[in-house]
Amino acid sequence: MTYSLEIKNLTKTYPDSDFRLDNISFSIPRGTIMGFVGENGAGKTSTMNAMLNITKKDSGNVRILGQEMGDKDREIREQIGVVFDAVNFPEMLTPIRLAKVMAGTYKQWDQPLFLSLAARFKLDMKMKIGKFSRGMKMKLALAVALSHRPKLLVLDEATSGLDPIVREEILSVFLEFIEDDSHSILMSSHITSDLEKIADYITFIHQGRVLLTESKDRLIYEYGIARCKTEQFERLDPADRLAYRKRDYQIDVLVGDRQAFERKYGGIVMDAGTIDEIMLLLVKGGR
Amino acid sequence: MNGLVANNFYSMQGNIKLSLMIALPISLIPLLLGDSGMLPMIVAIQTFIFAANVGTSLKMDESSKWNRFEITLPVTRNSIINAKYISFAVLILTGVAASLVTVALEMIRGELAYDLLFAGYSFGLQLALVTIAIVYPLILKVGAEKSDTLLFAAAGIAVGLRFLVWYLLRLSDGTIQFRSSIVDALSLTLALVLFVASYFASIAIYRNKEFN
Repeated sequence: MTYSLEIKNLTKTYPDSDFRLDNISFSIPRGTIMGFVGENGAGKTSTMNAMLNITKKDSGNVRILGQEMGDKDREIREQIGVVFDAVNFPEMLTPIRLAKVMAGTYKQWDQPLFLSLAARFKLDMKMKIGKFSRGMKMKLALAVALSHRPKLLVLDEATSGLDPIVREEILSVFLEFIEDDSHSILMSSHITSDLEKIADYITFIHQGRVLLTESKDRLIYEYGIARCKTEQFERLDPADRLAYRKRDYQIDVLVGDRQAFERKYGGIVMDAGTIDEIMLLLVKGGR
Repeated sequence: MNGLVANNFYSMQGNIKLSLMIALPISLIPLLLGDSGMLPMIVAIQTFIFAANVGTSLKMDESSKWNRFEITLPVTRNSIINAKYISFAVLILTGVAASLVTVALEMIRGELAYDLLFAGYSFGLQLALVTIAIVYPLILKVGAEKSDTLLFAAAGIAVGLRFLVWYLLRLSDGTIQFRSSIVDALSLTLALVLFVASYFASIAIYRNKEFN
């Protein structure tokens, strides 16, 4: 399997902070979308920053499209489109001028593609970016990220703060992008329902550590949440539970194979979990 | 890198227009007063006023977090600094170009005093070069929030350096005046050296800079 992104044992410490990225490892197979999930401050943006050389990693390897990316590797950065949670373009610029800036920066800049995306997103090309709504800013950021025809899109909370209609519109663009087998997306989001719609894999991160990377289909169709009474919970083999969380009258147990679990432990109510529920159990639950 | 230079100028466009609105009308002052005595001051202001916009551009880069995004573009960190210093140099040259209006008007009046002109350019260029040389690396270190304070402090240091050059020259020759071509020439040379040193300092700072 070829990977668009391989992160191995990425470690990063920060002065004046206890927070650290602790041996972050995950990979994105080419042609897939990786959802990157975690609570605020879990380390999603920090991982992306270290990955993109915005911050310097202490140790570990990051291979993008098969290559380690250093400061001088401009060719690799030509292949990456980045959208951050806040639009990082000077607010005095208009989309037309921003396109001129990008055309003078990216060798692969495709002006007709940018214009067609801008028209599709109904962007006012002469309006200053500072006057755009958040939705319009994110659409502009996406148009810019796509207009140099990248192979890897890195999206940090790109859909947060947007209404469902704009989100749907943006998600459809991601799905179109991924129709090309050589394209991949790393997408961090708090809105796990978005990831449930489009992601192929999900990586859960908590306090700077990766808790789990799994295919979304496995999470939804094979993982499960057993709703156990105390005596049922006590009967469980610890090897059969990934995480558990005590609630008022029951204990929720995350299991990796709900059918096998049901066969082994009859009489326990079993539900398919959502990404949100799985994340809560992994983050808040015991092991 | 062309894109980065263009972005720097787009960010400063409003302020450049404002600078032009100040720089061009003051060209008329020597003509209206019929006195060339103010020529050095006018030319110095015109040369410096555009360079004073540096803080605006850097503040905008920081507030929009463009700095962070820029790192993801297919440019090296050195190219980002190169683009900045090219923009600074063009800003200073824009100031020099604006001051040519004053020179042209003085020529029309038939009273162009080359010594006064040299004094004006020397002081204006020294102010602009030293101010940028001090402000930009410091902003990279401490952030653009205090750029206005830094700009005033740096301009003060630039004037202070001119006094220092004069003082050092007077140690060897007590007849040297503050307004003399030797002070002008040496101050300008020192400013150029500082500008070049500032470029290398900025490269070194930016190479290890992190954007969170």
